[in-house]
Amino acid sequence: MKKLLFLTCLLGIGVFFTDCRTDPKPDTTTKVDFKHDENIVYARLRADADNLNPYVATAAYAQEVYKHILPYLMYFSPETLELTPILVKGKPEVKELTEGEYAGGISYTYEFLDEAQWDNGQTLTAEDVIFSFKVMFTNTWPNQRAKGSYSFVGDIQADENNPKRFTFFVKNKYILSEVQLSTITVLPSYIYDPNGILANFSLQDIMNPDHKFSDAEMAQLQQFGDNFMDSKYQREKGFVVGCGAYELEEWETGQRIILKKKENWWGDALADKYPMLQAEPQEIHYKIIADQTSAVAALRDQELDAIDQIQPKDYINLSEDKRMQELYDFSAPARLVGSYVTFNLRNPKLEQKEVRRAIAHLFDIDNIMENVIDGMGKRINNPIMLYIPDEKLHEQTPPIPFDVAKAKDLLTAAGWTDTDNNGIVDKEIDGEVVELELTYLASSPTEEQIGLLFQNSAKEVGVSIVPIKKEFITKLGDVRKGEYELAAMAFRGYPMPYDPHQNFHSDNTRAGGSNFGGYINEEVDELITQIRVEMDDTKRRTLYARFLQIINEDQPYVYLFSPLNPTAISKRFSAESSSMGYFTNMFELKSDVNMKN
Amino acid sequence: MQYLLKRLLVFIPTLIIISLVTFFLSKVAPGDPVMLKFSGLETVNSGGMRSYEKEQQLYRETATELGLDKPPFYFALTSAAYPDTLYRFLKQEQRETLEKLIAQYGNWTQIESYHQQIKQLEKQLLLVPDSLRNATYKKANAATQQLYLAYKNEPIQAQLGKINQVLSEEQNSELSKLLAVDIQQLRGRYDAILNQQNRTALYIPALNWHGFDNQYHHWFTNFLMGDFGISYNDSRPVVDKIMEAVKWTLIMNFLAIFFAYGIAIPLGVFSAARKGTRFDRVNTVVLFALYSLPGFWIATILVVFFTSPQYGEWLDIFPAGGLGNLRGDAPFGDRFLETAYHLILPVFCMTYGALAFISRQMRGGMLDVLQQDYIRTARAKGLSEKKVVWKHALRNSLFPIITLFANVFPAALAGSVIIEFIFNIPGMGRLVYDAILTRNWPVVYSILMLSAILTMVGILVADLLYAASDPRVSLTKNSKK
Repeated sequence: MKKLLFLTCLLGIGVFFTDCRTDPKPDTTTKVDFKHDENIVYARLRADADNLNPYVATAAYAQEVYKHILPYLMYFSPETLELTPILVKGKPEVKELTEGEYAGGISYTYEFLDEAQWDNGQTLTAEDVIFSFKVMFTNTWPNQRAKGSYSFVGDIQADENNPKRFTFFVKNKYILSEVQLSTITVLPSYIYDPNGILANFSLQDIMNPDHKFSDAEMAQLQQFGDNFMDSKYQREKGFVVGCGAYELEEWETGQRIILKKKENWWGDALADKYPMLQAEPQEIHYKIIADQTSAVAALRDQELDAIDQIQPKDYINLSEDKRMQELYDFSAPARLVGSYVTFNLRNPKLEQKEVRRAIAHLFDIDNIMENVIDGMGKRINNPIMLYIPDEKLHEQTPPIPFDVAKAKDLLTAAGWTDTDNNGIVDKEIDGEVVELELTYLASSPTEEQIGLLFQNSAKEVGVSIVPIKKEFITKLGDVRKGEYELAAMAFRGYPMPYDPHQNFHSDNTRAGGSNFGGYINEEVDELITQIRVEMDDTKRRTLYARFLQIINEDQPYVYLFSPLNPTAISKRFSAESSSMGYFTNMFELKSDVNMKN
Repeated sequence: MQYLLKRLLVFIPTLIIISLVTFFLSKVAPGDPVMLKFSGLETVNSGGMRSYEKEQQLYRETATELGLDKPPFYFALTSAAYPDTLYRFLKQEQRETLEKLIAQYGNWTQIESYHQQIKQLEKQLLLVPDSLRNATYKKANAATQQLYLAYKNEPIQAQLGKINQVLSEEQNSELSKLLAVDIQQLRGRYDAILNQQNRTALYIPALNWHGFDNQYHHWFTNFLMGDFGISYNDSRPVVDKIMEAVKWTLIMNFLAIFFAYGIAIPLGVFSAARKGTRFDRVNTVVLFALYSLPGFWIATILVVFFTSPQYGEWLDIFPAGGLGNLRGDAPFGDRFLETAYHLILPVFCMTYGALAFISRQMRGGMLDVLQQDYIRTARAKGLSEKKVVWKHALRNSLFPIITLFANVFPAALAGSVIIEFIFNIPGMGRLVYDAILTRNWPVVYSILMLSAILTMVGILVADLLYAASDPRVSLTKNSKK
C-alpha cells in the first residue's frame, strides 16, 4: 500500500513537471534586466566548426565564423539580398570575350578597395588573388573541393597599371560564375606561405594538370602542402588570419569560438559607404549548443543574444512569454531551405506523369504546414521560388492543390483502378498486374509526420503508402542508388540565378547524380543549356517560365514548403534578421538598456 | 606476477581479434567513405561546369588519399569466381554491383568484359555531338549509367531495352551509326554472361595473397603507433580530437565515480547492517526511485527548471550548460570555480543512478557476508559490531563492487552521450555521437578500439582487486594446491 502511495506521488510529480513543460506560466512580475552589458554578441552555433581554413573547411558553421576573419570579395547583403562589395570597390566589370584564348567566355574585373590591407600593413593586391588560386590548385594537399569549385577559371591577370585591379578569364559563359568569383576568400601569403614557396611557381603551371614538375619542385610544393595542412592554420590564434574586422581570439572545441575586433581596423572608416564592412561588436562569442532544449534554456538565462532555427513550438512559447518579449526581439523571416518529395521515375509505376500529378494532389500542404510545423512555413511549388521569389515569374505555374477527387480521376485516366476490390488500385504493366503500393523514405521527424498525413490521404484513392524511416545518410545512399520509390528530401536556395542542371538535366541521371529520379525531358535539357549561359536576366526569366511550366506538368518532384526561420535577438542590440540569417558583425549595442550588473 | 604476464600475453590475440572485428565493421558500414570524406562529391557547388570526367578524377584522388586503392587485407578467402584484383575498382557502388553479378553467374571474364563495354559505350555516348543528343540519346545515356548499378536480370534487360531504342527508333540515323557497334557488343556481352555461367566456380574456394601493403595492415600498425588516422570531416588527427574530449569526460567521470562510490559504499553497508529498520526501508525506497529515473529526463528537467528564471527567480540556480565564459587566460582559481559550478548538474546526473545501483549491490554483498560463519565467530569472540562490519565483513563484501569497477575504465573513456549532449560538455560522449551521425568512422573505430582495450584492462584490474580484497582468491594454479 505504501509502495502504491509512493508510486502515485512519483507519477504526480512527473505529471506536474510535464504539465509545466508544455504549458509554462511565465513569471510576469519580475522586472527584466539584461544580464550582460558589454559590447559582446553571444550567438549560438548548432554545431562546432570543422576548421577555420576556408579552403579546407566544409561545415556551414565554419563559414559563419571565418567570414569575419577572411571576408569574401563580395557577399549577399542581408537587406537587399544582392551581392554587395566587401573588399572590392564595386560589382565586377563583365565583358563577353569574342577573341583570344578565351573567346566565347567572359572576363570579370575587380578592384580592391584602396584601404583594404592585411594585418602587416600591406595592401591587398592582385598578387594576393593569384597566390590564393595557386594555393587552391596545388595538389600536395587534399584540394579536391577547392580546385573543383574553381576549375572553370582559365586565368587571372593583374592590371599592369593598377596592382589592385585583377581580371578573371572564364572559359565558358555561366550564370553563376560571377557569384562564385565574388565569394572567393583571399589568403595572405605572408601567413599561409611564410617561406614564399609558391612565389617560385607560375599560376599557369600550377593550374595545368598536365604540367610535370621536377623532383626538386615537387619537394618544394610538398613542403608547402604539409605546412598548409598544419592544424595551426585551421584553428590557432595568430595563424587563422585575414583582412577582416575580427581575429580569432580563442577556440575551445565543442564549446565556443571567440572573435575579437582588431584595433584601428581599416574598414571602420568605410562602413558608411560599404555597409558590409560594418563591425560593431568588440567581440563575437559563438557558443556551440547542439541540443535544442539546452539552447532554449541558455536563451532564457540570457546566455545567448542571438539564436535562429528555433523549433516552432519553442518559438511560440518563447515569443508569448512577457519576460522574453522584454528581453528579445522575435521574428520569423523566410529561410532559403525547401522540402520536397522525389519520385523514382525509373519505377514503372511512376513513369506516367498522371500518376505523379495524382500523388502531388494528395499532399495536403496547408494541413502539413499547420500541424507539422505550426504554421511556420511558406508554400513552394518549385525550387526557383527560393532563388527568385518574384510572383510574376511564378503566377503561370500555380501550386497543385490538395484534391483527392482530382487525384482519383487522374489515376483512373492513367489506367489505375481497383479491379480486385482490395482497396488498392492496380494496373497491368508488361503483362503483370501490379498494385499502386509505394514506399516513402523519411529521415527526420518532420518528414515522418508528413508521410503519415500523406499516407492517410493516399489511402482514400487506393494508393498504399508505406512510410519507412531511415537514418539520413542511409536514405541518401538509397536515393542515389535509385533504390526507392518516393523519398522526402530538402534543398538549399540562395538569392542568385538558379541553375536547374543538377536536379533536372539528363546528364545527372547517372548513378550518384543529383537528378535522383532519372527525369528526362529533351526540352528541359535544352532549356537548361540555354539558361546556364543566358546572362541577360530578362531573357533568362522567359526561359525559367517555360521550364517551370514543363516541370509543373511533369512533376518529377513534389515541392512542399519552405520553413521560416524563427529567430530571437537580444534587445540589447539593434539588429535585423533576413532570409540570409543575422549578421553578428552588424549588431549595434543600444545605449539605453537596463543592466543587471 | 606470472599471472599478470600471462594475462598481458592473452591481450595480444584478443586485441588483434578486436581490431579485425573493428576493421571489418568499417568495411561493411553503409556509406561510401570517399563520398563521406568529400561530403557529396557531385553536389559540391562546382561552378556547375565541372565535367563528369573531372568528378571521376576527383573521386579517384580522394579514394587514393584514403588508401582505398590498396587491397583490404593480407589475403582474401573467396571463391574461385572472384578475381583477386576486385579492390582496384575504386567506386564502391560499381564494385558492389560486380560482386553481386559474380555471386549470380560466377563468370568473371564475361562480367568484366561486360563492365568494360558499359564504359566503352559511356565514352562513345560522350562523343556524340550536341546536335544528335535527342530524347532517345538521353534515355540511352541514362540507361547506360544505370547499368553500373543494376545486377538483377530484369532491370538490366529493361535498361538494355532503352539503350536498344537507339537502334530500333533511330534506324540508319547518324546517332544509330555512331553507337550501333557498341550497343550490339554490350547486348552480346550481357548475353555471354547469361549463356556462359560458371556457377561451379562459386563453390571452389580460393585464397588470394595480397601482401603487407594492405588497408588493415596500415590501419592497425598506425593505431599501435598512436596514429589513429585523420578525421573525415575536419581533416584533423583523430588522436588530437580524442585528447581534447577525453579530459572533460575523465574529470566528470572521476567526480561521478568518487561521489557514487564514496556515498554508495557507506550507505550500502549501513543499510545492510541495519536491515529491516526504518532507515533501511527509506533508503531502499529512495534508491529504487533514483535508479528508476532515467538520466536524460532528470537532466532535461534540471535544465528546464533550474537554469533560468522562467519558473521564478529563485530557481535560477545553475548555469544553462557548457563550461562557462571565462577565457583560457583567466586566473586558474576563477576558471576552476567556474568549471566546477558548470559541472554540478552533469556530475549529479551521472552520479545518482550509479550511486543507487552500487549502493544496492553493496547492501546485497554485505548481507551475504554478514551471514557467514566467520562473522558469527567474530561476533562470538566479542568484537564490536563496528569492527565486525568494517574490518571483517567489508573486504569480502566488495566483490560485486569490484566487478562493477571493471566497467569504470571503458565507461570513463566512452563518456555519457546524453548527459554531455544536454549539458553541452564537449567530452567523449559527444565526440562519439557526432562522429556516428556524420559517419566519421576513423573517430568511431578508434574510440571503439580504445574502449575494448580499456575493457580488458578493467577486467584485469578487477581480477587483481579480487585477490587483494580476499586472500582466499588465488590467481595462480600452484597456490590452489
